[in-house]
Amino acid sequence: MSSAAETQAAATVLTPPSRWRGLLRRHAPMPAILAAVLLATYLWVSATDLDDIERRALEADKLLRAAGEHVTLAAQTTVLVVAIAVGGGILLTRPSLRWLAPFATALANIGQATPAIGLLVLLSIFLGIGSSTALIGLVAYSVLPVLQNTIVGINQVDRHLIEAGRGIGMSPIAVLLRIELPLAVPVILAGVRTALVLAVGVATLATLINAGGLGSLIVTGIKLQRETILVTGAVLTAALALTLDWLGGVISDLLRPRGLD
Amino acid sequence: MSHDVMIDLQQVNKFYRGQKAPVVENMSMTIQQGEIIVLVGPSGCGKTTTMKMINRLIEPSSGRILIDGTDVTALDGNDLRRQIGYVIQQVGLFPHMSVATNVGLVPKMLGWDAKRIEARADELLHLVGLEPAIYRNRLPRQLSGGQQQRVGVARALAADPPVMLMDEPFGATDPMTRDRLQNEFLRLQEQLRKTIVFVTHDFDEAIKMGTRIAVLGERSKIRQFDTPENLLAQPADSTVAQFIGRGARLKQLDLRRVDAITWQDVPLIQLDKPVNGAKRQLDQTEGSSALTVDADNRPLRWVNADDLAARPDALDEAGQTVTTVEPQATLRDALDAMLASRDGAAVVVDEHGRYAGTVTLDGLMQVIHHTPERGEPGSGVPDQRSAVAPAAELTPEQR
Amino acid sequence: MTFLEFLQSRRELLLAQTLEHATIVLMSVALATVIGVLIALWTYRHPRARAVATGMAAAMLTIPSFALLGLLITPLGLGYTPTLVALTMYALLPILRNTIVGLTEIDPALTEAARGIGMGRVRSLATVELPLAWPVILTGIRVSTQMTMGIAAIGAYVQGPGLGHQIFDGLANLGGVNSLNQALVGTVGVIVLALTVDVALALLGKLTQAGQRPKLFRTRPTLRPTLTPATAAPSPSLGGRE
Repeated sequence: MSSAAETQAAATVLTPPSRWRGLLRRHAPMPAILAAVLLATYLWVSATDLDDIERRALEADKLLRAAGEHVTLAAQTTVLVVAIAVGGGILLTRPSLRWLAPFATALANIGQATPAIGLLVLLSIFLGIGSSTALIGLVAYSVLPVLQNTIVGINQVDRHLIEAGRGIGMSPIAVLLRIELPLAVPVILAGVRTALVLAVGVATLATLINAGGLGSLIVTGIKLQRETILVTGAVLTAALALTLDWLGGVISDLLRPRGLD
Repeated sequence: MSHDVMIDLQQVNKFYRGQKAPVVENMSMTIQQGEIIVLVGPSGCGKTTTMKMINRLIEPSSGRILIDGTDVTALDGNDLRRQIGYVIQQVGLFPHMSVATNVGLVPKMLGWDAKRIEARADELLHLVGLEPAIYRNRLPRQLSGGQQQRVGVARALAADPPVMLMDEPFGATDPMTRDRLQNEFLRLQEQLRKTIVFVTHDFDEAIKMGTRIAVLGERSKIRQFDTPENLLAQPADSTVAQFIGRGARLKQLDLRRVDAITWQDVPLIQLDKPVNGAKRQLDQTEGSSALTVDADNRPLRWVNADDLAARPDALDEAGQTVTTVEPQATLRDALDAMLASRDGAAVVVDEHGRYAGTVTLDGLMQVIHHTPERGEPGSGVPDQRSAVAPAAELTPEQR
Repeated sequence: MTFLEFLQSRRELLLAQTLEHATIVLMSVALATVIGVLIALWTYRHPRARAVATGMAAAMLTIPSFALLGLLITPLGLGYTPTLVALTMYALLPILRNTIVGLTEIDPALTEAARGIGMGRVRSLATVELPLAWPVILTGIRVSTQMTMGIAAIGAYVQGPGLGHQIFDGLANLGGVNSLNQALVGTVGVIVLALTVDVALALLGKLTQAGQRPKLFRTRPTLRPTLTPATAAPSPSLGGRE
């Protein structure tokens, strides 16, 4: 039935380039660049004559604590965001609730132009300052892209696949779990990655409402006009954001269902 | 063919809220076990809706649909659909699952154990002509369009459902592939004898595939429901005739086989034997031809009296080349062969290529002008299925 | 003081800050458009260069704005310039990426036809390719504008211009009388401004469509760099930084 040529052609398709090599090529440069930048910053700070204020601000355990706060805040945000947004996205793509989805999109559009600092300040006025307010602000701010990506990701699944699934007797839940969600994974993950980056970024502002994080170094640097503190804080924050984004990229490449292009 | 009723649509209606006219109105149809019923009609006529009500992808608004005597609404929709094969134009293979996983989905939902599913998937792949060892672990995107649709058919057959619904299954493939898939499917159906509801908007496909064809109009109203032969011979009204399109008589040629019409005999000249007998025969009937054959009786060339007179010693180069058909070929192929030959005759050969007789334009004309009623003796179409099936055995080269 | 009274009493200041906010955003987007389109023109025919350019632009967008501003004030000092530079850097990616996509998605038959009737490279770009890619580029511009509107508010912390001052004043007055009014006018003002400018850009798109229906970007989620698929979607909704 299938000609030899067909078989042969298919056989060549069958040997995919090694997944790992592709991963390495795509993802190797960033850690190298980050390591180089961090090393350069370290050398520059070591070579600089530091005054008392600078020395105190740049103590290793202080830096570690700030970074820890920062990562914790971003991680908590991401977990909450995934739970809320993926769940919400699934609900908003069910036939009975689909009419609500445009509102979510409209909200996402507004959210995009909202200054995060404005949101944090407004929340602080009502909820007081501190980490829980920062967490709420971060979640509110980064939930929308994931929600929107979940909706887009599920809606872009070829409706014929869904029809085929229903047609061979899969229940709506089975269609969701076995077809819609797996095929939406890449788009959802892209949204999660965005949320992660947003969370790291907004967490930099958390220090302004007393919620700690690496932003405190930047604020100190600006306020006290200490270049070393400012640059160290900025470089660490940027490196953290790029690292987490890099990690997100690696993870989403690994979780990508095979069979998609 | 058994005549148990397999699918029974009783006054089925489908309304959509906010729409005045029903999409399907008062549709009734009885389908026998083993038939391929083709629903054909213009787009938007409700043929797909009608089909989808059978597996309740669309719920009927009123009326009853029985499958093998059971009302489909008595079953859970998902359970029902697991028992009905379903093939769609877009194939709908899940891109993130291997071919074998796709094929094994229904058995898995039915709770078969892994071993059995695996064996079944291999068996089905083999059945649709895809070597399991090569294809079972492939992903859909690594297959050609035709291969994908074969897997689609295999998936639909997985739990051996008695009924299959096919929504323009070959519509998205190129003409060559479509033809091959149609032929393969008809051959498969010979063994499987499923009851099939087949939707298409292509009337030629309907003629080729259908045991019976329902020509549908607006709101799925049945304009005519009959065998392809009768439909072509006697369209119920001008709309059906229009839909059949031009060349209804030519299309009939697709439905008949060479072995269903009378063959004529012609004088044979064996090259290694004296030609005198044949020569005498040719001289008797003015302007007729003889056939040269080799030692195994395989036809070589047409020769007439002039050829014999001109080159009595070099008969292997005299006259005209012959065109041959096999008994299972359709009359259309025979016509094609005749038109290619000087004498308007095609030579019928058996499976070994040996001379069996000839068919001529005159013989063809007689058939066309005397389209017999169904079941009339001597119609040469003992069974509608077998009248169609031979087409399935043609390779593309022959067509 | 009610919100309306507050608006009344600070009308001139607020109008000035709104105008400043709009100006710096539009300036940075204009700069980013020039740079982005140039880089796109330079790289779009070379997959490698294309990947490097978008990769770098994506990395810039990943850097938190507070950190980027911090890094920029070291060489540039406080004030207008670091904000403008930072905003331009952020606005680059959507425009660059959409320009590349817009240019690469043009039917090759059209560029071939342009060459066939004797157009040079530059003329073909100017009269055929860029006009055809324009709707997609404009979508990128809209995304960038929305995004930088929000980010521009941070600029106030390093003495940049705009409505961010209201927000930081509100933060400084936390618990004071006008704290809520200030934070509200700053935040809502930015949103309203962003939506207004977006409508204006959409109108611009309608006015500049070259005898064709605006080829709004097919909703094709872009998976590689960090952004939502919405970067490429007709309604701009790229997550802003902060």
